[in-house]
Amino acid sequence: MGVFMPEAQLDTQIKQIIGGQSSVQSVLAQLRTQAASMYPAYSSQINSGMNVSDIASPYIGRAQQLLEMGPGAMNIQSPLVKQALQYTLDGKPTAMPMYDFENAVRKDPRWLQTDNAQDSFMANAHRVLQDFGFAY
Amino acid sequence: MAVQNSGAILRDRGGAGGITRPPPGSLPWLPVQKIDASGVLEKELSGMPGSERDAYAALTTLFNSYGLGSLAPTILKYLQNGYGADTITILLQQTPEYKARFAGNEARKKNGLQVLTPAEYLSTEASYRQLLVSNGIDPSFQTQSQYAQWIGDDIAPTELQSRVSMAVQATTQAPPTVSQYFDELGITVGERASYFLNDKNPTPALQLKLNQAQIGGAALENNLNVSAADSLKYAQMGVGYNQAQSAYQRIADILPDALKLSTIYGSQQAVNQGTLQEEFLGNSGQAQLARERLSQQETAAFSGQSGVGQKTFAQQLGASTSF
Repeated sequence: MGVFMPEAQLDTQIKQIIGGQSSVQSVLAQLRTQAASMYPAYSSQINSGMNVSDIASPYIGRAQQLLEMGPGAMNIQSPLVKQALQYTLDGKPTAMPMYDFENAVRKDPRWLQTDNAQDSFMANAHRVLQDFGFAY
Repeated sequence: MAVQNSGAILRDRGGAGGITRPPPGSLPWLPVQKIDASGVLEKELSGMPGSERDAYAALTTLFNSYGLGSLAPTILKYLQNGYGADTITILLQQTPEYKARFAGNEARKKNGLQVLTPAEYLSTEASYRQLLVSNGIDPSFQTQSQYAQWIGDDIAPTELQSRVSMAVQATTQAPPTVSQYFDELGITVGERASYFLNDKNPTPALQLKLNQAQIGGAALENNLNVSAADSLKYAQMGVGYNQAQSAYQRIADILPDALKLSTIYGSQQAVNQGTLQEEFLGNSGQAQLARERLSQQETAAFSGQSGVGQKTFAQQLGASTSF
């Protein structure tokens, strides 16, 4: 859901559900409210039943791809992803364009250690040098 | 990887100014730079695990090997923004880093000259550096800003070669008397190399100045003095150092007797240093005639006498000078 719930609070919620003082639906609704306020750009999707992890999935996938990390290496708590989910433009919460997200990932120092960064750097650097009049 | 001799470069102005781009391959002075020839960079990268390599370090190394390390941070920024090579090439040229690195091109633009590609620019710099080092020119001239000035002023390496050669003749190879005459012309030893390397005057004007100093130096070697106006005049007439040395040796030999006889035969046109300079440096027939008349007068004064033991003016001049 994209919301962190401390273990003690989780225990309490479970006990209340078992004791009939609460229900799964009401807890989920509570969590959705929290998630919607945390990620206002996606509040309508969250309130309509979409999970934050589903919303974040394209970002997570692209970040793992660019940083050459295995599946599960990133999640919605990863700073890059969280930053994308909480993106604002002119002070208004909005979905971060994938182009901007990719640029943000490429600014992560970890990207400089990847094969795709090496390939990109060398290919482009060589082309620039060729454009400058150097030849290989 | 090597720098290709693209053939576009500065042309020796020959003192007349102007610049054209000769056809490819027509510039023997243009060195082919071997850059990263061993593929060291790629080798290093291929053998490294991801955690130990850094694309930016590789980029910096690559551009440093071209003397373009100052552009690496900007290229990193562009790559992080996802720009392609074509965009990067165009955007780079607008950056202060690029303009600073290729400052000579900025001057060329202002002077209405065609800019050099980075490869041409670096090759030109390399040629300048090679010239300066091989001629032992002060390292203070071996700077990018100095090269930028020459590139901006359209000084081709072939033209710089002439200037360097003159600078060497005017400094390290200059005899003391030539050096002394340079001082008299107001070009002190400390500023002499700079005068020849930085002066905006065209090469022929510098050659004239060198010849002028050599003529003055040749006079000083024989304990004679020549005015700046006269030395310039003879330099303009094409008198070289060797000719001046030879001429002033003869003038020094003749002058004492010429002055004495001119005093004795006061009715004749006086023969002095100026007259002899005009004859031996200026090839003046009138000056030669004046000296010959003096000589003839002396010969006539001695006619009828044995002349044994007499050292006449004519004898002193030797067989090479007619009377």
